[in-house]
Amino acid sequence: MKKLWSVLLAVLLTMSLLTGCGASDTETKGTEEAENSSGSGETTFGITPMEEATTINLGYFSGTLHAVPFYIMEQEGFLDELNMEFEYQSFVNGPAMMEASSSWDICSTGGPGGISGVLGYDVSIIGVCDNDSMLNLYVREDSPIYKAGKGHVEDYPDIYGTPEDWKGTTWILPVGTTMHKVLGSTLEKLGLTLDDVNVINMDVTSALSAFKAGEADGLGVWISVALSAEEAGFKKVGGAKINKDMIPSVLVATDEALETKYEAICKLYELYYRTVEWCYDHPKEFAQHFYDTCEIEGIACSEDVAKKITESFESYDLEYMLDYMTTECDDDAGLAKRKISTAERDILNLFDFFKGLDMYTEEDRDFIIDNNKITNVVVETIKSEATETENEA
Amino acid sequence: MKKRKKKTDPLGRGRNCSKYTYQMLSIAGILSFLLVWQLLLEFGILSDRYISKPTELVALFIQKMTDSSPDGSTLPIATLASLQVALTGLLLAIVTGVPLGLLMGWYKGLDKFFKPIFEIIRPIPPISWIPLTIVWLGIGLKAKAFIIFFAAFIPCVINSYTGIKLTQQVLINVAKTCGASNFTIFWKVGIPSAMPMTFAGIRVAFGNAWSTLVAAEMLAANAGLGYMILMGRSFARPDIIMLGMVCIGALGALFTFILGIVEKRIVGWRNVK
Repeated sequence: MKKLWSVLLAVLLTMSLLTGCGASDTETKGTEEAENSSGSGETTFGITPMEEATTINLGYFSGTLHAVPFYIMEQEGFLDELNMEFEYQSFVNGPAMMEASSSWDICSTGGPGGISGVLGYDVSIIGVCDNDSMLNLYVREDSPIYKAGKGHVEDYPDIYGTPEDWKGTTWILPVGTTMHKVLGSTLEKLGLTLDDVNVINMDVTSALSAFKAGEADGLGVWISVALSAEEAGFKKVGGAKINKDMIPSVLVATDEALETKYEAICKLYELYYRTVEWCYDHPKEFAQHFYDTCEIEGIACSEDVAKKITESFESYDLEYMLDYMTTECDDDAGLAKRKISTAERDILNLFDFFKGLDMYTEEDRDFIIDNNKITNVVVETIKSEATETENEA
Repeated sequence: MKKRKKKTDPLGRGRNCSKYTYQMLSIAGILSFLLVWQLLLEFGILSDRYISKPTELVALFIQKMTDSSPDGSTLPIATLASLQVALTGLLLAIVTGVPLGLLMGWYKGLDKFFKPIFEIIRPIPPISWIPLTIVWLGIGLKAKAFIIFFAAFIPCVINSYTGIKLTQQVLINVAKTCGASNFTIFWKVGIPSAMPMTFAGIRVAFGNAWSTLVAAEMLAANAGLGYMILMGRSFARPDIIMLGMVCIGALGALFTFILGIVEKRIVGWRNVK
């Protein structure tokens, strides 16, 4: 009898093991994520789907990390679960994206692009995507800045050169962008200003070609171009990470979409940050998706470069964003007549850099604050819905 | 006493209008355009968020004479920077393109030698030279002038070539009868005969040079009218963009006018209309 029981148990155990192994990867993944998410489990992240199929016109910023979660949510089927689909409109720079704001509902873009958008077009910043940390300054190996070594600047030990080495140098980078801000910030740490150097406006890919051809003393480039600069043997002497700068990239929605597709925008917002969490949980897949987007969009990138770039992604989860967009604080510049959110503060700090260069005015600043152009309306809706669900539960 | 005949259009259009009336009509045309533009914005038919009023542009023009925001240079500095680039490229194009066109049009051997190369280069858009220009010439004045040069070079060659080809055979025959050498005929008959077409080519070249300015300043710049437009775009300032455009347009018109005067002086004998 004992023998019979043991055989029966062995058969049962084997069957259960086989059943376990037979479950598909996607099921396992889905279950894991359903457990991870706070939702009901109907969809991967527990977000209630739209009742009617909805098409979102997506402004897709090619070759950037902050746009990849949109691509991933579509490829991994998260978007489909919510009964939504994307109509892609691709762009390679923020200003062009803002000019074409009538052709998209939501997009992610760099901070300066978002700022020009809220000032010039009917759009609002609804969230912060990531802290753009892959913004670097390069020089040639024989540059006095590199030769002087690092450690000359207190609190910023990784900045190379002395103020004398930097003074009078010529830099090529895209003016009016986050790269411009990073150079300004580095010079500030060295006790200098942008007036102490000569800045020439060039887009990043042309800038790298020109630098390779022997033009200028320094180069300011981002993301994959930055890695190409490193591969070409140029030396990093400063950068956003080295400066400990907060350079926010932003989520922007058109005012029309916030009116006509509000529910979809809220769900998409939640899904964006849940997908970001997924990216952190699945670094290999994240790198592969980033590489795929570069292939599709014709951006120069290798699998190794994609891996390095995705590792530098500094984004936020939904809970952090809900707090970040709603926690009140004082305006660092002391100009706002009301308390502002921490997200507003960081974006306005970026704005103030450009204002300091006379590129924007104080009226522009007031316009952003007075018209709530950095709005937490979507976040508030998500928060209140979450509270309702909790109460119901 | 002889009655002075009034100058009239050979086709008989506007027979009773004086030169003064025509000038007034041109001014009225510009003013009407500005008035319609202003009214469309005043009555909200066009949004003033995306387009500035002419009066606002005038105010901005005055302000930009001394104010360097947001592009970092005042209007005179930007204008000078652009003029330097555009005129360098244009002059290079005239100096090389016009003689080449004339020689190609007169000497068959040169025509056969250069034409295939020219025909290959001709359809290439000037902007497509940008990546190679950076590598070859860097990002300074030379590089930007090179882009402009390609935009202006083609019409200089084509018009000079066509102009000299259209030299009347009877004039050539007369010169030959008088015992002139081929070079003398080229110099004294061919070139003067080609001048009206050559000047038309220079006018087109100037237009091309001026309109390629924004693209050339996209290459690399820290001042200029094209750069001003690019910065206006970056900071969502339609007024800055429009001021840059208006300045480019106005300077273009001014130079066309100057070119017209020069043309009249040089080829006045051809009764240029």
